[in-house]
Amino acid sequence: MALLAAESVSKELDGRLVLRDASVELHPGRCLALFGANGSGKSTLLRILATLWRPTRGEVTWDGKPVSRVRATYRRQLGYVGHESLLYGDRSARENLLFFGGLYGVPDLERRADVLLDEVGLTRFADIPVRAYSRGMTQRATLARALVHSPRLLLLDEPFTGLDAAMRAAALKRLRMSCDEGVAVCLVTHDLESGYEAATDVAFVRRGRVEPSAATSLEELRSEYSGEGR
Amino acid sequence: MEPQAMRAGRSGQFTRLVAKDLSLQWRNREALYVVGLFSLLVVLVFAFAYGPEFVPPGLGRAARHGELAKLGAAIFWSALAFGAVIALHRSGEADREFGAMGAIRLAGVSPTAIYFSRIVSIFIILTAIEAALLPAVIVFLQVESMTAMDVARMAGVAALGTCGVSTIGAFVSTMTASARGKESLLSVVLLPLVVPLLIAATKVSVDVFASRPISDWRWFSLLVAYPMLTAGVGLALFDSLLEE
Repeated sequence: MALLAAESVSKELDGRLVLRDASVELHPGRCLALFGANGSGKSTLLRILATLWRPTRGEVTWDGKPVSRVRATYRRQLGYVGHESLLYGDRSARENLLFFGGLYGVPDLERRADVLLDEVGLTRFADIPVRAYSRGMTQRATLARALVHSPRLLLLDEPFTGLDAAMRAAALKRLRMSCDEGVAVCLVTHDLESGYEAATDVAFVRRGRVEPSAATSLEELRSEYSGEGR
Repeated sequence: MEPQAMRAGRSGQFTRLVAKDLSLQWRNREALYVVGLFSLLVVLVFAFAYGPEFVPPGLGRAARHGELAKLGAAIFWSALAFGAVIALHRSGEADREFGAMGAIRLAGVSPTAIYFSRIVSIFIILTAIEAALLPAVIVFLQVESMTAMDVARMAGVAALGTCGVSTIGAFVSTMTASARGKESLLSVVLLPLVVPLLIAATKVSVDVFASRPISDWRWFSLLVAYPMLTAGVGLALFDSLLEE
């Protein structure tokens, strides 16, 4: 059984149907990469999976139960990276991690924060307010925030944005490590190389529908992707 | 099953939220100074425009105190209302700026804890403003008839009024947070809603400033009932307010 499943989910925004009967399943230890043109509905789907938006129609289930019924429990087990950092600009990365980790009741929190700051390469900048960070540094702090409570599910919307090559490689390594630990991952990205490298499954979001990709290599994926948005 | 041995009790989450709100306000305390100074300015302007000299000289001592009490109560609550609007604009700004409220929701924090933490942090901030306002009103309007007991009674009345402003303010400021033109919308929605509370608080405060027992318990009842009613409505609706 899928850990998380969206069945025939639709979403209407300002009178426009952004998602149309989209279905997707996420399994422990697997990483689903979702590609698609701008406005195809990828981020909308991720926000619905994260319970930040409600679907107009359809249902999302967690361990077979509708997430609307187990919302608080479900939310505490997911890590989400979206377009916004969901951080406090006046607080440093360390303070943000300590605050959010505290809300989750993470044990040995100080140590956990140090480990994550080291993993995302922010140890030297850990005590600087997030407001003073560059785009890439903010993205690293955002990734650390999403991982602070060791979630069972990761929903990542463009997680590689602003990261340099070394950090991108580190983020990919961390994603693979999470998958190896049994975490289910859903990744939305325009970065074909990184997405393909991280993914165990690949799909496209086309006009609000999720369609599995037929690509068996990066070249085939590039060719399939080049036809998107036309 | 939740990952690891994690369990942050509701009280722990609530405490963290209040501490976070207050520490963020403290870091941006220049804005709080502005709120405090603005409120004091209101007191000063009214005190010098209509101060003790305003009271006709022929009045007896009791009548003079009665006039000053009316003036003091009106000025105190007007200054607090203006200060509260500015403070409420500020509160929650950090939650909105980079979407941090979303991460709080995703941490499974109950809407009740979020709502009450906002009430408590707004209450503490407004109480700090009142701590500067009340002595200023007493000194500049020369309400010298007030005893220590009257000051304590006034602190109680102020606490009840502030509680009401906080319960409705936490709700309305969250409601208008993501709206276009939120600054003006907050004032437009909030001020009519607090009018009954301000009238009740002013009526009760007049008696306290005049060092006499409360003459009309209906106003006091409204002062007590208002925070309970607005907190009840806020609790019932806060979840749908936070969610889409």
